[in-house]
Amino acid sequence: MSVKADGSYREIKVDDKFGQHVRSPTRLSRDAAIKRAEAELRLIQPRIEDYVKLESKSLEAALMAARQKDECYVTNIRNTYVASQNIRDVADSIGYSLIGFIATSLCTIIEATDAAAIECPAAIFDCYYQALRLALTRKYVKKSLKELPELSAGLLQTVHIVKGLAVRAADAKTSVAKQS
Amino acid sequence: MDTRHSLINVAGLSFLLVDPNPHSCAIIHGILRGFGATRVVEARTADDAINVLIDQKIDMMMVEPKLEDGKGLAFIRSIRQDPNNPIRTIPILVVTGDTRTSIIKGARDCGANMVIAKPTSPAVLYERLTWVALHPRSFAETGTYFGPDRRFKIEELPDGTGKRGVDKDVTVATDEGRAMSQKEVDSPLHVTRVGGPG
Repeated sequence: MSVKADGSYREIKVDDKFGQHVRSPTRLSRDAAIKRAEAELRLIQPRIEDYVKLESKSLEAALMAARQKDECYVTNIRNTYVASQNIRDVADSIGYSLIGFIATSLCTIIEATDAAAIECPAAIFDCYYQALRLALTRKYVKKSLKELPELSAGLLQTVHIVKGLAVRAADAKTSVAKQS
Repeated sequence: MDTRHSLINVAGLSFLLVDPNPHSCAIIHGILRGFGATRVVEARTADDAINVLIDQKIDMMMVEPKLEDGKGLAFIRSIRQDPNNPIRTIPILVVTGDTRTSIIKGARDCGANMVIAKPTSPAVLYERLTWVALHPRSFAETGTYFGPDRRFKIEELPDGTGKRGVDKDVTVATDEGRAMSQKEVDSPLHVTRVGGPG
């Protein structure tokens, strides 16, 4: 480790054990490493699939509850967000692209509405509920987004619509604040 | 650097995965095992991770920022900011599904080496590990920051495609911002040398 100091700024050269070890002899090629990693993922795939299906059921229930827009709205949105995050983080890694896309889009929608402090239209929850039910069917569960261009484009459109609502709400708040 | 023909050796290294979600952890754990890692330790909370670091020698950490109470980035910062910490310069990757610009900027500013977007794949993880190992970055210490130099010139991207047009234009938003793809996530961490130190 070498140090170069310049006033309040110091630059420290670091070459740690991680770097040295990774570069050491007896190394695995990229292709072999990836092939072996994919084999490892196949071993844990059933466990992750069960988890995604379980979380998807939670998400279905949360979406149904959120569309009611009752006094539990905040809790229901939080539940929707948590289930969506859980699915988003793992689904694509095991080939559940459509479910992963649905969850990712829902996360984006909830983050946008949350940042703008607006409620998400109930029709959006309906849309995602239906999309999720479809994605969970045997016919669709392993389909890629490329195989479903209309559905993925439609879901993307809902993201754009909600983001537009959020931007307009933020602009309206800014102009009200300026006037007052 | 083109990683397509690269070779790595991670056998014998100790990895610490800090993630509250065991399934998300299992995916990264599985990928690392495939790469030849023989020692991967998991922690669900920042406190658990601190205990692991006290008891065991760790060579690389991967941290989900959304630990309980959003402690993930604070945990990384606490390691970087402690001048007496022997693993102060350990490589730390932030692994997150939340790729809003505020999160990416937070990861960069707390001293993470790199951000990996979830869901990840063996190819992406391999490229990032190779990138961190083959491009050791100097650490910068200023009054407010200790971590990998946030200003470094990228000559070529990990996938060997060369520098992108957007690399010089990256600005990190101050608000929450939109979610980014893995390629976009890389950009704020690959800003070119344009400003002052740190």
